[in-house]
Amino acid sequence: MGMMPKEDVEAKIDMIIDKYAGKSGVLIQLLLEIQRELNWVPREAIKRINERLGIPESEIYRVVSFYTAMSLTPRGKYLVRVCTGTACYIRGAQRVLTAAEKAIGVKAGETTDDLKFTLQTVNCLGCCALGPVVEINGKYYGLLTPKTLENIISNLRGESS
Amino acid sequence: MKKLSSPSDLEELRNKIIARKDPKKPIVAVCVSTGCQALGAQEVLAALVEEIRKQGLEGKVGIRCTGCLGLCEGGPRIAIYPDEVFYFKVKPSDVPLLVSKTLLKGEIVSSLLYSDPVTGKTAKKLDEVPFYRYQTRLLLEMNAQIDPASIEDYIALGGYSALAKALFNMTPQQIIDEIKRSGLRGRGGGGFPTGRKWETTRNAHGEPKYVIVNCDEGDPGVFANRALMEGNPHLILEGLIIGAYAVGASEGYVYVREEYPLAVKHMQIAIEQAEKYGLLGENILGSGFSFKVKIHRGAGAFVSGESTALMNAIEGKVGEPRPKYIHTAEKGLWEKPTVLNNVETWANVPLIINKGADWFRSMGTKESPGTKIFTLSGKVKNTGLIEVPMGITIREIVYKIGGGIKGDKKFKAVHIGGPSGGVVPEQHLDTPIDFDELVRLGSMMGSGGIIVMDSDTCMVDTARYFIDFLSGESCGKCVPCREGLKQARRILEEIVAGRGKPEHIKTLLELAETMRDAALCALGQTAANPLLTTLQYFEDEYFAHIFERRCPALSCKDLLTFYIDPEKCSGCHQCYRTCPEQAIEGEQDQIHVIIQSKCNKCGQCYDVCPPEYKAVQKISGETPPPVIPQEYRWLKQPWQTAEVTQTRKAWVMSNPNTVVNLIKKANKPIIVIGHAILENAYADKKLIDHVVELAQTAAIPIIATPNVTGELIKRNCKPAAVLSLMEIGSRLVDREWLGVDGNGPHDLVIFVGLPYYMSYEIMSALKNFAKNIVTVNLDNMYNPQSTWSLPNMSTREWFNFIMSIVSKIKEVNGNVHVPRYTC
Repeated sequence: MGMMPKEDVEAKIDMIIDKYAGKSGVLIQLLLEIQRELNWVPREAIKRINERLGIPESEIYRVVSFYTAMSLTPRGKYLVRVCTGTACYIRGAQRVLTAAEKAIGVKAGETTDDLKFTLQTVNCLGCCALGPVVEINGKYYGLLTPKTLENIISNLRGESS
Repeated sequence: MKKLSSPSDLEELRNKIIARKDPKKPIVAVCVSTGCQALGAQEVLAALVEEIRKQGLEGKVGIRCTGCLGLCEGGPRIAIYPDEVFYFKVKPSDVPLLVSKTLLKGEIVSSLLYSDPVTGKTAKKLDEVPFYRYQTRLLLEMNAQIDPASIEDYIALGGYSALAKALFNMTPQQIIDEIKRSGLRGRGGGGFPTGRKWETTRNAHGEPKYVIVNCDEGDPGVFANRALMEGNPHLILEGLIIGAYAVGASEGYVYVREEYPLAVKHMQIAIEQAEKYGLLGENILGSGFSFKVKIHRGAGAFVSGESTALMNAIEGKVGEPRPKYIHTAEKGLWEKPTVLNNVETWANVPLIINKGADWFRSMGTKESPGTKIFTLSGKVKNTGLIEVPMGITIREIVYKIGGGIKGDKKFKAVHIGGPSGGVVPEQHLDTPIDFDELVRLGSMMGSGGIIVMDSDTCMVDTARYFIDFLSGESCGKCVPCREGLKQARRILEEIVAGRGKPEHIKTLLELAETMRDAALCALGQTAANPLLTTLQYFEDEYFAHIFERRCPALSCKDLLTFYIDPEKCSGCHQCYRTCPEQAIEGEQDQIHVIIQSKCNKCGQCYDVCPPEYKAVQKISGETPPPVIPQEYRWLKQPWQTAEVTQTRKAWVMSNPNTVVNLIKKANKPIIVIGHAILENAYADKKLIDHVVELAQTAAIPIIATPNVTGELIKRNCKPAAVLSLMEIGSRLVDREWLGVDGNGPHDLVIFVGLPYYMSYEIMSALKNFAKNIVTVNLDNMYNPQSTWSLPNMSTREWFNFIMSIVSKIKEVNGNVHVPRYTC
């Protein structure tokens, strides 16, 4: 997704800004939509919002850096979110996370160089009875062990290559 | 669809829907909530659709996607109506049987019924399941019976009748009075009386007024709001509309956290449907009251669930709290009077309006009437969502509904109320829980998360976990919360890492007090709860960490040591295979040993060690016993034990490197080959091929018996000497013999391909009369008379062993001593 030509990205950003221009209190929703479409919030987007809506860049940065849903760096094709909520934590989420870090080859919060995987921790996915839980691009995997997660990751890796 | 314009329109529609429904028509209800999806509900659903089509049952059987019923561990869950049979843990492969047996013949597939983990009994109906039997399910009950995407399902069950009653038979003040009389308190955690909040907003100056549903369920370990909104969005919506009418609001918001996509989807559908039916929007049911609702999605910030922060977020600002000098009920969203209630609070409203305050008061305690949904998780047998009357004891929840502690370990505490809640220890198991009682115990209702902890859970680490969580989620606006949490986290990290100091406890208490008194919002004010309650009830655990460097729960990694009990190890090799750090030494049938310097304390060996052995030990605060020496590690000796070996048995070579090292160290090695070398073959190669390769790679001369010579020459390998075995034996024993090249005696002799009785005799003689010679038995049967010997091995293992000697020599070839003679 991050590989789109530059003009397309700019057109897309403008299109999204169009939808929200003239309304108040839309910054977060606007940024969320940019995040959804582009998989990150690029610098150009922040500049463009500033130019068109007159919101100070510092304010936009503040919002983007406050919320975990938004990212200032490109995210991988697969967003692997390991739940480290309390219920998952006491059922061994830490080990699942270590296994994920090993299988993917990056630390939590990082993206692989080939933009295939982004690894994140998430506070709670609300599947507490099934901990440890991992969500990958909207699909939930419950009652995980480090081993099963490794298999899931290697399957995804095989699939996309 | 014509909009409904009066209560009688609604009743008419309801009757029509009910009449349309054939009560005898079988309906398969599949739970597709997030929890069941994580276990494969979508795949089950697809298989079901396919199977019904295949069997030609389309139209005769209904499929309904429903919401969560709470027992998530039993998912994917299916219910079959009208018989009300509940199946758990259904796999796609079970579907054909389920359709042909239960749907077509009405028979039960007993393997899919719920089986109680405590008693092993199966249950057909839901109330036969202990997990459900002790609950009072007012709000969650409907989740099984309705498709959340169908307003008609909801209407058929009496939906929106409370709205009609409120709009046409009650004044706003009467509604507020009824809610006040019911004693409903805010289910989001604070427990503020809902009716009073509504009244304040109703009487406050300022237009327009707003109502908000808070579904920013950010507490880790809680999913009650998600289940309600995913499973029954109309119930919440109906409550919200009634509330809006009561306080005089014309606009409402549903704030949902970003992590709950399905809840957003279902609420979106519900709003659209309600508008289409005239239950939302302009002139609702022809009453003249108009009200619109918008959904606002969060973006992943815990603190945004706080009321003022949430309002900031809806206003498009960063979701950080603001000071509450004036209550939000008077000055909330855009500075206007605003009622903000939790999902569960709103969901209670239609029930109270329909059945009355007295009915509601008949459940729960005097100060906290009604039911409460808790999320039960952690170390209990049954986990999931439970709805119970207020005033139930923790014991009932943990043991009756939860089925007791997993693995029958010892109960230690429950943590109630999310990160800002607190732990409640064993001595309070019989305390009835409601809003006030929990505060008295130092905890709080919070969002209703109950996490059960057993003797394996470390209380200091629990406190560290919550403080770490809150520290990450603190918005940083006020100093006590931002800095207090950071420092508390740093100290707790020191303690769990075994670097705690005696003065730390006093500092923690000071920090806790400052945060409680001076933080801006509830996040900071209650942040110290987990710290204070663990300190209050489990001070001894803190002391153990600080003064003894010991974690009593054996959970803090830095304070642990793993070792293998040699008395218990069975040599099954499981731990060796699992260890990610190669920190375990040993082979099959050998006592395994953990090399402490390599161990990263991940505990995987502890988990895989079969329960019948339990050989891997976890200790804290003590040093492990010394490891046993190599020669005592064999459990079964891999040779015939009847051998008479005089003073010393051969060392077993289990690693090809041993042979490589012996060759490296030797000055004049030699290989002795007998005729058996021609008789052994594996995978198209004869043993002689490998031995010749070994001799040539390591440049070691060969002495062969006459019957092998021909085959050697065929392989371009000329033996240095050809002698009978008896002759070879007596030459080697002779100290005057100067070796095959006449330059000096051999110091390392490798035997391979000899008949066992011959090599036994020869090596026995060498052992006793030529002590300067090291002998190596490379045949695959243990020979106790040699200095070093292979254990008994299969042909495959034997060939592989020799081949890996060759490849290892190739790797280090530069360093290998090269004798003058080459083969």
